[in-house]
Amino acid sequence: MFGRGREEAPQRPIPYDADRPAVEAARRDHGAFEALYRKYVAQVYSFALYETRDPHAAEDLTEQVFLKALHGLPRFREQGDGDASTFRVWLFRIARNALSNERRRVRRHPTAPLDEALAIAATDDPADEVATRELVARAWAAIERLPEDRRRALTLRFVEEMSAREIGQVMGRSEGAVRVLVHRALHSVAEQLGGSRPSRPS
Amino acid sequence: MGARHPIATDSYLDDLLSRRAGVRQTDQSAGTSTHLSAATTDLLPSIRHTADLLDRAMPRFHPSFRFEERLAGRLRTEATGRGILTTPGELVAFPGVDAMSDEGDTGDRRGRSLLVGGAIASGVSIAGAALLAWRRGRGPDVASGVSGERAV
Repeated sequence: MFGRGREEAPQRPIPYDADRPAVEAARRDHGAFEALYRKYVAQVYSFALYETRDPHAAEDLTEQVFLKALHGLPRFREQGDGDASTFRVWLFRIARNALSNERRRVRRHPTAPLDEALAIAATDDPADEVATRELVARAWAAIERLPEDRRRALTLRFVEEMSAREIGQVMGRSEGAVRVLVHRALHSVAEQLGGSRPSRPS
Repeated sequence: MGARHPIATDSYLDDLLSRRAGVRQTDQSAGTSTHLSAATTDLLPSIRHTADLLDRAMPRFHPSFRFEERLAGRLRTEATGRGILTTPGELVAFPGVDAMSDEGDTGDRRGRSLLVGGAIASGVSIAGAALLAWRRGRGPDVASGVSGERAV
């Protein structure tokens, strides 16, 4: 709360949850939940995949999340702008809790889906591709070595495209703390890349 | 670590992700863009390059179509408690039984459709009752299958 009102970038207020009509429809008729499921299944699955590094575990987790969300929908309460809690934030909180429970139950050794990631991250330029692939592989290795909270913040920022505020709500941190987490994560990855530069600026 | 760098990093990421999403810069947001540019003068070059790299290295994955559809089916099952999604006024055929056709129908199948008809939804119950009444009126060969059901 001390971070507010300082020299910050303009906030992106969340005055109204865009999912509110869909949520209300799903409350009236659980069958309408499918629209929310279709909208968020890839986001939840991606989050689970980045966290578990295991496609099967990610599927299990995704299933748990949506089943819990469906049954818990009557308890979901959208909060006001000051402490905004949207359906998406609520869904990711469920995912975070499910992940914590899963990790308590089974200590998995993560195996990074590097091949899959590299295939997607590959460029169209063959001359550029080798250098980029190598750099991406090193970036992934660096991400792997990050502490869990920094890695999670990075995933939510880059993959889920959440704001610092949303990430804070998912992770139970302040907005300022999330900014520091992301910055430190990027700094750690940059250090481990050792001054390497992307071969092609974006 | 000073507070300026995390803020500058955050501003740069906002800008980066907005560009990724193809957000158009309106006149209003052009002012924001100027603000971001000013903020990102504090951004370390190594952070900027790493952010640009991760923007390409961290894609969003989609689950397999098979998984997505299977889970959609599971959610429908959970949503209705019976696996059949209905909307008010919608008539739903019980799986494996064409309630509107008598072709190839057997006594067993008639009995099954009657039993479940009352349990699915009120609309189907009404349809099932109407079907039963119609079949009863068609003669003894059809009614025999139903009378066996009544005895149960």
